[in-house]
Amino acid sequence: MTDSIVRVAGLTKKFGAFTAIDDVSFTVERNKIYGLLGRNGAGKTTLMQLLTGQQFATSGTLEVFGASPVENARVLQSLCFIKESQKYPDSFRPDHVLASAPWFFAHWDAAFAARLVDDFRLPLNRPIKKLSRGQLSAVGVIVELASRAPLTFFDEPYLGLDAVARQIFYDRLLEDYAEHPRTIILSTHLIDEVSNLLEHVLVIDEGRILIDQDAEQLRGSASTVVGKKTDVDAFVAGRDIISRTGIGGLASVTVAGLSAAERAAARATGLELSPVSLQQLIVQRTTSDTAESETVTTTDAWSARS
Amino acid sequence: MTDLLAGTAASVHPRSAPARIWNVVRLHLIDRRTYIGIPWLIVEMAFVITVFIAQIIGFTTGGLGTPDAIEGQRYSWAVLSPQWYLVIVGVQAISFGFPLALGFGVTRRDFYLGTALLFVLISAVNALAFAVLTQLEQVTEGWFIDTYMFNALWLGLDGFWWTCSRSS
Amino acid sequence: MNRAGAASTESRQSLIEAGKPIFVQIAEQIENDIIDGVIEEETPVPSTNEFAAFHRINPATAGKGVNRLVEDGILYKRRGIGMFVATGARQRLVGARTEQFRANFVGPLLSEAAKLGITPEQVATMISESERKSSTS
Repeated sequence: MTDSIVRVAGLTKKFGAFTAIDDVSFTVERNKIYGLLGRNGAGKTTLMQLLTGQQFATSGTLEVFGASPVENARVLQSLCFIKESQKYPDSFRPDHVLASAPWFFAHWDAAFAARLVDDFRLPLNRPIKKLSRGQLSAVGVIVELASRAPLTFFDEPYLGLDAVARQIFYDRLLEDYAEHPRTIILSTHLIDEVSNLLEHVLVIDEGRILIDQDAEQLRGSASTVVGKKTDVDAFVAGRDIISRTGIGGLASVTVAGLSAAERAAARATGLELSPVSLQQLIVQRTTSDTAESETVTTTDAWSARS
Repeated sequence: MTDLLAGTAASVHPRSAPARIWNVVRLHLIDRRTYIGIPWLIVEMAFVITVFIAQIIGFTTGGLGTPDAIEGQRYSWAVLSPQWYLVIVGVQAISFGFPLALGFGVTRRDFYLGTALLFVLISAVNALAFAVLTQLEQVTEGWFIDTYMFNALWLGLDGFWWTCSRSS
Repeated sequence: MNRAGAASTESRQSLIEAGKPIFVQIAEQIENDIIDGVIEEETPVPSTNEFAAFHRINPATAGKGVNRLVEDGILYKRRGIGMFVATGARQRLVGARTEQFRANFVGPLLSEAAKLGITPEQVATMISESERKSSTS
């Protein structure tokens, strides 16, 4: 069942001389959970703003539910996108947001919203500008979950949420998605935490789509080979090398697509093989053109953020 | 809390353009303080100040009931005070209300029309209320204390438009 | 939002390891439960959504793991009720695992033994000796 609700072809968005989105093409299929992954500033938010008609494309075509989203009330009624840095009217309190949201979302579930308010312990009567970062994120998460919009975007939804609140978010998302399937695009740089929730992965880097692949195919698609530098080099020669690091006479090289026989062959020559997590794989892919020594530091910087 | 949320449970999909535009008006008015509460609080404060100043003037000039004093008070235009506030919140409606409306999937066109309709409605309601208050002010001869605020020059009785229509 | 819930959460997620397709892991876990007798033949297995919620994974991924076992004839679908363990599933799984054991452990064991000049007979003796030692100690 390939039922595309988003079709993007050759999409480009420039801000002056800066190209935020660079000739991007992909599709989004109905009722799947997508991960829109990438480093800060990679173009995730701009891409979502284009998809929701909040920004105008410089060139390329963009269809959401069969039409351009720009100024299209029919399309926009089916979307929900609360930005990570969402602004609210100055005097607004969470109860104002939750009381007005049903006027804009046809599938709004007030009982679900009330339950989420309890889950996140959101103070409804406190002005939004006095909320903590986590409570502000909770307002967005509650609106997005309870909206049940056919295409819902989550933009770094858990900023400032503590570990317990984040787990509640993942649990409620999965529960509700199971009962009310819809298309979800989850934008984040914290890949490890959400990777198991994803069915499809879009990795964006410097405005370009780097990976557009089924999450399960991606998992286990790469292995890290560790051993004596000469042995490792001999084994990986001619293979698709994703990244390499080394210290002294030891080398650690991540390669794509090893068959069971090849794994056995590697072990037989005394090499160690270890699986590569989705986060490691994406970190290595998005830093692949940097020098050997830098790869390590970038990887550390990324995981330090998580 | 639960009451507030349950009260809006029966959501209607805003398909028609008028419904969508009306929803923008409702979004602006969900916090009634911004466009109704505070403007009228300002009117009340202006009235208190007007009474206070009028009493001082009356005390020093020997009475407010004279035709001169009544005419003089028409230059205060204290009744205009909420308009300046509304100009400012009108600008804020764009910078703060617009991003939320976008997040709620409102088109720019619907947001513009809804916001314009909001201010037309506020103007109409306020004009009506001021007209009624002006009449009351006349009937009560300046709220029984010879203090006139609503019957401002050009705006109150025998105001600008009325004078124009009579002189033509 | 209670602490106990959070604690159980941690142990829950560690059941899924990174770097390996999740549907394979789900299928293996169901197989293990059948071999261990945790889930008996002709009894229902949890639904896809229950697996998804328990492991905090995408329901489609969990479904893929379950479907793999349906294709293998380990599970079958009862319309409107759910997935059940097929009769003879345990025996077939044990058979398959025995084959895997031979390939993954016995084969490498014998090739390593051959390298060291140990005959298969000597290996067998070593195995029965260690078996005796571990049972007496």
